[in-house]
Amino acid sequence: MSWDLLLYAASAGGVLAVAGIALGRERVRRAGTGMLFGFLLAANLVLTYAFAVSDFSYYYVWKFSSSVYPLYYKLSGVLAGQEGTLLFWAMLIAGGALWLERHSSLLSRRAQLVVVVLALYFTGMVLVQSPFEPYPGAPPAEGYGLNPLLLDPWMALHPLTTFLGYGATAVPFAGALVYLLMSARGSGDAACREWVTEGLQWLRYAWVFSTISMAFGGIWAYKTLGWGGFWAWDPVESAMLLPWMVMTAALHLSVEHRRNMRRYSVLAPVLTAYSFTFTVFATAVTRSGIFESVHAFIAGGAGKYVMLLLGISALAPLCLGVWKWLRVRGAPARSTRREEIFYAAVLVLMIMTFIVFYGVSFPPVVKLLTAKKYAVTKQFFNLWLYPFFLMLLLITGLGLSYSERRRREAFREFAVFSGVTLLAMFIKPGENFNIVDYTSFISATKPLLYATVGEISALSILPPVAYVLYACWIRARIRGLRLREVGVVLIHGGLAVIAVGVVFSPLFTSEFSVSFKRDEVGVEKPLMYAEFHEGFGRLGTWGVHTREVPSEYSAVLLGVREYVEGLRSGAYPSVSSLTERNLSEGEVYTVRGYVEQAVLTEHAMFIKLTDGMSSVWVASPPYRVAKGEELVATGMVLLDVPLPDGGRGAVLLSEAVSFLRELAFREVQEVRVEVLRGERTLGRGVMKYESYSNGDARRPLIDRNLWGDVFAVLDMRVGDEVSMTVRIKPFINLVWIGVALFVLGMGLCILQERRANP
Amino acid sequence: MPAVEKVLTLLALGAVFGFAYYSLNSTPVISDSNFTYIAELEWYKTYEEGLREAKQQNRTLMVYFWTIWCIYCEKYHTEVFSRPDINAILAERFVRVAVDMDVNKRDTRRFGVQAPPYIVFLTPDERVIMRVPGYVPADEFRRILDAVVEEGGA
Repeated sequence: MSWDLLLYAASAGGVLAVAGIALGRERVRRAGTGMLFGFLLAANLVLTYAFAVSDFSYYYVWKFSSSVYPLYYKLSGVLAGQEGTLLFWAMLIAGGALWLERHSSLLSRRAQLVVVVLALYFTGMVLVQSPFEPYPGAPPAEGYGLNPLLLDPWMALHPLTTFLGYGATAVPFAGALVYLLMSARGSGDAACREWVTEGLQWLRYAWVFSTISMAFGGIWAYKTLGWGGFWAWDPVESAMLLPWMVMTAALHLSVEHRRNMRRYSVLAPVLTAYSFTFTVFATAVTRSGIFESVHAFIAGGAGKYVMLLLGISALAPLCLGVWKWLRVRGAPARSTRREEIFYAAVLVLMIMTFIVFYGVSFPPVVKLLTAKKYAVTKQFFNLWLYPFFLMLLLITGLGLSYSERRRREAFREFAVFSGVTLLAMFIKPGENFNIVDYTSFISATKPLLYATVGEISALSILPPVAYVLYACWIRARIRGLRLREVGVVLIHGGLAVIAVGVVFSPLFTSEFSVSFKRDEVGVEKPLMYAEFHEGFGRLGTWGVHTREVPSEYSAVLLGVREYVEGLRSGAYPSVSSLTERNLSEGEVYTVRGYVEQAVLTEHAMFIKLTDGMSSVWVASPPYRVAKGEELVATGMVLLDVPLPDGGRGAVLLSEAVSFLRELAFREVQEVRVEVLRGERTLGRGVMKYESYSNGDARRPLIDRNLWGDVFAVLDMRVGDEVSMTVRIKPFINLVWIGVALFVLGMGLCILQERRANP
Repeated sequence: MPAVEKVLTLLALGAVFGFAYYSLNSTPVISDSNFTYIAELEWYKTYEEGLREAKQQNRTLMVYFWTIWCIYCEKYHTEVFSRPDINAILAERFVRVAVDMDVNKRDTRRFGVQAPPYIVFLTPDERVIMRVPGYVPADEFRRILDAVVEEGGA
C-alpha cells in the first residue's frame, strides 16, 4: 500500500472542510478540518518513522539517509529535500486551519477557507512529488546519505526552524486578505480589531523562528563551508532575509495600526500578507532552478506550482489593497510627529527590502531576456545597503528616545549623532577601515557612487550604534520595566550589537597559512599572512604581495591522527546468515564476506566468499581482488550451477561488487593545533578532514572567545604535509549575542501579548 | 494620507527608482552573448569556440570553470587573474575559455568537473597539459602558468 493514500484522505478532508464552510455546516467543517490536519500529521509521522528505522524502500529515505547515522541525523533527513519539506509545511498550514476553529467570527471562517485552500494546494504539490515514492527496484541495504556538508547539528535544525517560521505566516496571510476585503466594505469592525492582534501574534512567532533559522544557517555556513563567513549574499540567503524584513515592517505597522485603526489600514495588512508571499518567493528561489546559487542542488519537480502560487499570493494582496485604498481614501489628514518618525523608519526598511529583492531577482530576469549576466556579488548588497542601514539605525534611535515631552531634546540628540556619524565617515585610522572593498568588483570600472560609498570609514557604524543603545536606555527610563518594554529594548539593543559584529568582524579578520610535516609534532611555526584579507584588499599594490610576511601569530602542531569510522558492515548480512536461509532462484540478495578464492573463467570471475563458517560463490565482472579482502555483493541467485571447484551449487550473479573499505562511513584525518600570539595562547583544538562515500567535508577548529574566534581549517592534502588556513576573527560572536537578544526580546513581547489577550 | 507621510513616501519611491536605474546601469556585466569578462579580459563562453580560436592561432587553451556564487572564483578573479604579471601572460599566451557551470552543462560534463573553480590547460590538438582543481594562490598559479607555457610551447 502506498502511503499516498493518507494524502488523498487529507485532501478529501480539505474538500469536506471547504464544503462545510461554504454551506455553513459546522460539524462537516470541523470533521473536514480535523481530517485534513490528522491525515497530514499521520503522513509526517509515517515518513519520520521510515527515517528512524532507515526504511530504504522509499526513494526519498534512501536519498537522504544512511543506517549508520545517529538518530539525530536520521530524523534531520525528513526535511532534507523538497518532498519532505512540502509535506511538513502542508501540515503546519492545516494546523493553522484547525487552530482557527477557536474563533467563531465571520472573518475567522473566511480566513479558515483561505487557509484550507492553501493546505490543499500544498498537499497537491506533495502528491506531484511524493516522499512515499518507492525505490525503483529492490530496496538497497544502505542509503545514499545526506551531502556530508549537511551532517552538522546546526544544519539538522535549520530546515525545521525555517519551516516553522514559514508555516506560521499562512494564518496571518489569510486573515489579512479577508480583513482587507471586509474592512473595505466597512463590515465587522470588532472582529477586525481582534484579528489585528491575532495576526500580530502569529507574525511574532514566524519572526522568531525565521530569526533562529537564519542564525542556525549562518553558524552552519561559518563552520562548514570553510569560508569562515556567516553570510555571503547568496540568492537563497538573501531570499530568506526578505520575508524576515517584510515581517519586521509588518509587525511595526500592525502595532501602530492597532493603536489607531485609521492609520496604515491598507499598508499593515498588505505587508502582513506579503510575509507569506515572500516565504513562497524564498522557496521559488531555492527550488525553481532559475536562480544560480550554492543551494541550487536541491532544485526539484514541483517548481512550476511554486511559481504559480507565488504569482497568486503576490497579486491577491496587491489587488485587494488597491481596491480598499480607493474605497477608504477619507483617512485622517494629520499625523503626529511620533508616527512620522515611525513611518520614516519603516520606509527605510522597505527601501532596503527592495534593494535585496532587486539584487536577487534582476540578474536572472535580465539574463532570460538579453543573455547578459551581471556581477551581483556581495559587494553589490553591502554597498547599497550600508548608507540606508546607517539611516535606519539613526531613525531607530530617534524613534526609541522620542516622546512628546522631550521632543526638542530628542531632535537635538538626533542631529548630534547624525553629525558625528557624518564626521566618522571620513576618519580612517588605517587602510583596512574602508567599509566595502569595492575593488573586488569583477570589472575595474568603478562608478563614482560606488567609489564614494566604498571609501566610507567603518568607524561610521559606531555613532549610530551608540545612539540606539543610548535611546534604549532612555526608553527604559521613560516607560519603565514592563514586560513588553523590556522586549522592545532587547530587540533594538540586539540590532545595535549585531551591527557592530557584521561590520567589524569581516573587516578585521586576518587570514594566515601554515603547513607542517606530519612528524613535526611540538614544533612551533610562525603564521604567514596568506594574502591580503578583505580589509587590506584595496591597497591593490601587488608589489607588496604578502604571502611571505610573517606575523606576530604562530601555531604549534599538537598531533595528527588518521582513522576510519563506522564501517557499514553491520548493514549487510554475512555469508552464513545467507546460507541459513532458504534461497529461492531469481531473488536478489546482498551478502558480505572475505575472499577465499578467485577464479577467472571465460564467462565471468568467480569469487568464493566466506565468513569462516560457510561460503558462497559470487560471479562478477573481473576485479583485482586479494585473498582475505572483505567484499559486499548484491545480485540474483541461481541455484544448481556448475561451480569452478567441480561441484554444483548456488551462485550470486553480481554486476558489481564493492570493497568494504570503500563502504566505510567516513575516513577522518584529525589535526590538533594551538594558536599563539607571542607567548599567549589564543586558542587550541581539533580540525578534521572527513571523506565519505558521497563526498568530503572539512570540519574546522573553532575556539570561541568573547573577543572573537580562532578558526582553522585543513587545506587540500598533499603527501605527508598538513597545511591549514588559520583565521583570527574578532567581534564575530557579537552577531550571535545580538541574535539571542532578538529571540529573547520577541519572546517577552509574545508573553506579554498572551497575558493581555489570553 | 497625511502631508508629511506623503512627502516621505515620495522620497522613498524616488530612492527606490533611483537605485533601480543606477544599479542596473552601473553593475558590471560579467558576460553577454559573445564573451565573458573576467579580470579585464575577454573569455570565450564555450569550449568549441575556444578550440577553434586556439587551432587558428596555435596557442595553448585555458578552460576555466566557474560560477557566480563561488567564493574562490571571486578570489581567482581579483587576486590571481588580475595580478599584472599573470594578467599579461593570460592575455598574450593563452586562448581563454570561461565555462559558467550553471549555464554550460555540456562542457562541464565533457571535462567531468564536479565543483568550481577548476582549470584545464590543453594544447590546440586537445592534449591535456594540466588539470588544476580548486583555488591556487597567485604565486603558485604563476609557477603553474610558467610550467604550462613551457610544456605547451605556446
